[in-house]
Amino acid sequence: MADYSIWVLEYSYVTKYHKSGVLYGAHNQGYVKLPYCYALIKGKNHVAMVDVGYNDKEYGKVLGDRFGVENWHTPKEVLAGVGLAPSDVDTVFISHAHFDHFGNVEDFPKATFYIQEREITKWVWAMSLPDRLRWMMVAIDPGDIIRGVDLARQKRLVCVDGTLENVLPNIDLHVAYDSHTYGSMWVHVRNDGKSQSSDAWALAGDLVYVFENVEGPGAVVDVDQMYVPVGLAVGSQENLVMATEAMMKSVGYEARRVIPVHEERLKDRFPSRITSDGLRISEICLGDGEKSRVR
Amino acid sequence: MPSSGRDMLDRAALVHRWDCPAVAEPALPEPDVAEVDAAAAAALRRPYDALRRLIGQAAGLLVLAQASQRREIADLAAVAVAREQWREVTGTLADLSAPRGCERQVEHLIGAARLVGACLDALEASVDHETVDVSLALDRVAAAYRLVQLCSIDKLGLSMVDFRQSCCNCAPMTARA
Repeated sequence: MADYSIWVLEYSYVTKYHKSGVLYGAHNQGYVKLPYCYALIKGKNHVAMVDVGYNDKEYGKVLGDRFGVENWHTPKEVLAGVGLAPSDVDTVFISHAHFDHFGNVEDFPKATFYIQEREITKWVWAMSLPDRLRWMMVAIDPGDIIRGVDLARQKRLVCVDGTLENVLPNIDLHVAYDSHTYGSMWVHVRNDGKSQSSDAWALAGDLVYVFENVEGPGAVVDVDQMYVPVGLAVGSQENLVMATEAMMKSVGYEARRVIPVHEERLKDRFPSRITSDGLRISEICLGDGEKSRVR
Repeated sequence: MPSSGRDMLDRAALVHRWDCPAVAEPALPEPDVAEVDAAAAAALRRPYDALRRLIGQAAGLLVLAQASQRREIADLAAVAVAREQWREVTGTLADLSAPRGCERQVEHLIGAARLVGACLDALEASVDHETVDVSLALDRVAAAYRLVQLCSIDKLGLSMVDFRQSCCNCAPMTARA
């Protein structure tokens, strides 16, 4: 029995991202493709997403010209790949407030959004700091926070304080304070409906970028594998490693069940296809009665 | 007012929301960067960045006030900090001579500073009611954002988002490699 289907939907990508950004300490090891994706969860009469991407009309030219972000497509085009429309989405979990995750709320007119309160409170603090501490305020657009105010005014923004169980049936929200960002959130889907699930998935946001963050090389300390944190964080590597442990524990230490949405090699672990727009759909699991969108 | 009249006014207000592209002002033409000397660019950057950050702080406080309905948000030290920084940037702008070719930018920054001050006033007033409603403060901070965004000069590093450590910031490194 599985309640939910989960897909990872690519909406854009960078072809050459420095590997040290996704893997701590991987200096001078070249580049990897970095897909920009959001996750879609469907089941129990809900359509939920983890993150919403960014709005090309605001940043498309800047990103395209300056950073090499390619092939951006609208949520309407991307969700059509799994037979859905943005207006079908009733719930959005914002893993963190970076522009490429929280930057397109207006395209989901019927959704209620969940974000960690700490992500907002420490943002307010970081923005009050002088320029020499500017490191701590990168990649967030004040305009996205303003759109968050409008969502709150419409009673469509919920600020979560820590763990929230059963935000939707058998879906829990967890926080990793001071890690990739101040209040990064991951989503735990217990697909068999049990509190101690043996069919669980952890949707990691940017707490995990690639498989090596969970199954990194451990020869240097004489183990087969160890957790290696992501390279980009305002918090600590310790908190990233401990968040990885929490996610792994939640899925019975089965690494394939921790889903990194920036990982190009999801296709090696899960059925997938490339759409006519040149973007990948990875099918993480199918709920009972749901048909495959990649075969 | 009869309900039909109120409905009409509501519709009129809703046709073009504050973020509607149809009512957005066109971006200011970027000045010839070669003609803006380094000192002048630095002079512009300081109030620009201060206002960008103040808008971020104000927007975050509005989210917290509206979503939590906690009236004590207005008493947080963060509000006093924002007030102090607003006074500083207002003073900076008052003393600023507009660099040649950047007169409109300075004009917009002064307007944005006024709106940020009005936003903070509206935030404090919003908690005097039984339910917290930050609509007025939202309109003001959104208008301030638009004005500061109009002043962006990418080549001088005046940008609303600091992308330098963001997930996409690889092309410049690739170019250097």
